[in-house]
Amino acid sequence: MAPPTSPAISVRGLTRRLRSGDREITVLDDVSFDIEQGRSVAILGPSGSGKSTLLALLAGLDQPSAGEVHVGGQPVHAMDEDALARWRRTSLGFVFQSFQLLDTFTARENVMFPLELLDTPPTEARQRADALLETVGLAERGHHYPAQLSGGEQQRVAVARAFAAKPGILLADEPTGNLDGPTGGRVLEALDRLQHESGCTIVMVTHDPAIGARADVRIHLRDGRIERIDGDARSAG
Amino acid sequence: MSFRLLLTLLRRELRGAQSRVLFFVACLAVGVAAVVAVAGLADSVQGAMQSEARPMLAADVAVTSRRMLPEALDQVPPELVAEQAELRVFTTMVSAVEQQEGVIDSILVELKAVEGPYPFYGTVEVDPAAGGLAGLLTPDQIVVEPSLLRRLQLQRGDSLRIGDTTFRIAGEVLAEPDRMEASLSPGPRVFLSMDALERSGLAGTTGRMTYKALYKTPDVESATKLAGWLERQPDIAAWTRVETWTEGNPGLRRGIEQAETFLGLVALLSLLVGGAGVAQVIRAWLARRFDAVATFRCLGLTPSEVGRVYLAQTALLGLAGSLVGALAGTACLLVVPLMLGDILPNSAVDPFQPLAILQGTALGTGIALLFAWAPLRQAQLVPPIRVMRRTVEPLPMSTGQRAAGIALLAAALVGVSVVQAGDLTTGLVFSGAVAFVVVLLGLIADRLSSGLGRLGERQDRWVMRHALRSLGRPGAGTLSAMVALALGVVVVLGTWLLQHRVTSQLGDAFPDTAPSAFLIDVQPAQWPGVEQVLGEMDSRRVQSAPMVMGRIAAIDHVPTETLVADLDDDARWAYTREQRLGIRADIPSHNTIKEGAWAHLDGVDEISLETRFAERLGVGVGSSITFDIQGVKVPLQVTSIRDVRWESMEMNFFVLVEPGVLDDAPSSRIVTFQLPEGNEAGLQDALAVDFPNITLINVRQIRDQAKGILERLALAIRSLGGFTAIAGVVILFASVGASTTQRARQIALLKTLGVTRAAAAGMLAVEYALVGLVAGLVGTLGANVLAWGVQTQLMRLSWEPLVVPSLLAVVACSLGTAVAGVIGNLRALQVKPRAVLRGS
Repeated sequence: MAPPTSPAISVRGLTRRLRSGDREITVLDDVSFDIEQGRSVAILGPSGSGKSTLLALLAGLDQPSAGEVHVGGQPVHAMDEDALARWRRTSLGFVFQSFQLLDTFTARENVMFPLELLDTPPTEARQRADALLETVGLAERGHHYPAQLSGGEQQRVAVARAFAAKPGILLADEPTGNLDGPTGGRVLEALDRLQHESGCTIVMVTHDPAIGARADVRIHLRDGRIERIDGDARSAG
Repeated sequence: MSFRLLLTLLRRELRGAQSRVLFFVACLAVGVAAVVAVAGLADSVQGAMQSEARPMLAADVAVTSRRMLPEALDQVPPELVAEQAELRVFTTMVSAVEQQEGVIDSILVELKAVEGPYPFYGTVEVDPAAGGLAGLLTPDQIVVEPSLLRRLQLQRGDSLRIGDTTFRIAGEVLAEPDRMEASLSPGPRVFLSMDALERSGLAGTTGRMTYKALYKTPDVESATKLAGWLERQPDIAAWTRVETWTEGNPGLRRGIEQAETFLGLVALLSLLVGGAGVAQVIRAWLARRFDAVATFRCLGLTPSEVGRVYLAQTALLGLAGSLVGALAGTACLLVVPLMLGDILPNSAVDPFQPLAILQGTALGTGIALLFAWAPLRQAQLVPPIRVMRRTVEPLPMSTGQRAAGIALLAAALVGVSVVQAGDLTTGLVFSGAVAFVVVLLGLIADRLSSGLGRLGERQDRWVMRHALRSLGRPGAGTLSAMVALALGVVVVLGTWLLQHRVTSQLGDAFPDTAPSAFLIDVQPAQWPGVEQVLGEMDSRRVQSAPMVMGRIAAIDHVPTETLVADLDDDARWAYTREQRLGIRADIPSHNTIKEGAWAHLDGVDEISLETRFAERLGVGVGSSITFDIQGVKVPLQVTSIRDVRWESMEMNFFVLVEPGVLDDAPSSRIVTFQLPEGNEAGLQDALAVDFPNITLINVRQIRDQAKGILERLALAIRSLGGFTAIAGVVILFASVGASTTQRARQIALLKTLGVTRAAAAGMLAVEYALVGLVAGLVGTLGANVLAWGVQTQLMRLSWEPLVVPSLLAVVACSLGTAVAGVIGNLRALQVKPRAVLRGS
């Protein structure tokens, strides 16, 4: 079913080794897969299986010891810091477990920031931020600072921010990990709704099979290797 | 990143950082205020000196000539001259018109003919005072010194014959500003106008007339320019001597210049200490922004964009702190004269010092950026992956970057030092010393803390164990705080030690034992009578020594005429003038033999020369100087060279001769003594009657002036000490504040483990007290070394260690740090542990 065009994400022989004292630990071991545009992907696995490392490598936040990562056609493994920064600015959205809102920015300023980085005119940036905040159910909270918001609200602001610059790819690291069930549910709903509207590819790390079940594709990791892939993706490994 | 976005980020990043901003601004402001205030105070010290030294010349610039003043003087650039006057001084005989029985009818006087608004500085005190000197002098009226009236038994209103003309004595001259040098005055002063001089018929006849042109310049710089201009004119320079008021007392001027440089550098040091505080604040601040930086990076900011945001922020705060400091410094200059009242002449302090403000602001901002460089670089190196792993620290700097950073810091340190010192060598020496001290402080503090850390292993009580161990823990971040603190102690204590020494030096230099007057030309036969008169006038501490007058006839058998053939008037004078040869068996206590010995060797007729006098003549130990004493040539051998503390105001000679050598030569005595204030006129009267040949020189005035200037110096150092003390306190809180974030988590953890708030506070107190102890020990050592260096090397004062103040400084630093530590962490102590730990 996969079209012959290049996939949104292409991973080949991806390996990450870390030095811990005298020992070398292989955190990720020869991982390969392709993800097509518009898919939602869940990376599942127990603690220490390499989920977060894989996500960091996809985002260019970490450098692989071996192998290649292409995201949206870009050789992420071979780009320098500045090129990565500019690429992240235009093409990547992030949602983190610990929200990572800028504490000196209001909710609206947090959502506006990726747009401001792209030199979007202020009025346009404000309108888009307000629209996104409305989509995640926080239309009235734009002028609040992160410290004045609950955890769930903060994470929904983070979701709105991640979609602000209309990225092709959105990476999420345990987005509900710090939230209780119902609150986490609302965050996931917001994510779903915005992905639907934008048609972007989502890669989400989670240890919760129930959340994983909502994704099109599930990549199961264990001890740094792909254990299996469920759903509609192609493992090249 | 657009400029607008940069501004937006700048604004947002400053939110919620009020206390940090305050610390930052305070650290810098204190240092900048010191720089600005010192510049202003130095200016006022110089101003005070001007107001006291200028009268010694009565003008800014004086041109003295033995011939008619050259016509080239008419072409003096008019913009350099505000006013001018002319003097002619010469010696002549005057006589009473009506002769009295049994009274001498004529005496030698020193005439001073005046044209123009003389004096520009100081006043000629006359009686009657109304109208001043100018009011009394007319073509047929003159003013004379009271001793002339006494010696000729005349009264005000009587007539006096000068040349072939009779003048009416209109008043008495009591003091004149430019007649303080202890030169031999041949007789009482007579003032007359230039017209009166013409009338006397003496204007063109006398051979030994001194011509003087006096200039008042619009400002100090013009005086230097004018003197330079005069010295460049061949027609003027060849025949005249050009003096500026600053030359009136070169030793004192050099002292004040040194003090200015010194004060300026101490101010720079407090600015650098402030800079160290700034570094602490920025480090702590940016450490708290690492999460935000990581988020910025994830959202697409490049490392250089991150750097730009925080650099702009630092520059902005640096500018703000510097401006606040410049304002505070200016405010100090407004307040200081009010507090000091009559000690500083108000006119001398101009609180608005645009140049100092500019310099202070530039230095402050520069130093903020300089000290922020390393923390800023660290912020750039925060890896974006920190958004996923909170514990990831910024990447270490590469060796190249580190080297570049150190080079930048060194270059900037040298730059600001040279700017502040105003001279390359001093700037280089100063920056080298600072760098050396900082590295040394760091090394000693490091060794001490790890030593104390090891001591912690053997402690049974957990509070002590924890406190000691946390000192020695690598990467505890206490080292930089300790060095900053120690540097603060160096500056505060060092300045205090210095001001203490200078203050006590005041007492030494102007001891109650210093003489207030001299007598010269006391003949051996007159001495018993003079001694009796001195006793009647309640004179105390009377000291006298015989002396012989002589001229240098040859040096190393080369006749003086040959030696001076190519010299100008000024240099020639050292060879040709009449010298007083003091006859003494011992070297006076305030003289120090620099070379050779005063040993009274058999077969050698020894003399000892003052260092600078020997340098001028170009002679040393072993040289032979032949003196012409009343026509008799006496060869003498230089066996020692002496340094003389002229400021002791005691009896001193350029040339000392051992007793026995000149026994046959006609000698007179020089006498020094202290005279109760107000007895001067009485003594003068008593001497005038019985010993008209004896000259009385009153030095009380000179002494009081020099004392006034030194007192101002001590005051300037004390004021600066106040600044550095404030700087020290600010640094203390900044250093403590830098570690509070880290502490909050630690305290929360301890509390969850069951440690009470009081016990946690105790632990903090002990820990900070230890930090303060190490910093205090190292800083006190540094302060003593600094004070020793400045006192012995720069000021040439003796050194005595002040043990008790030094120990007190160590204790105060330790206690102060403990208190500041607990106060700085009060909030952390009160916060519920859950709030802190959840946040992490």
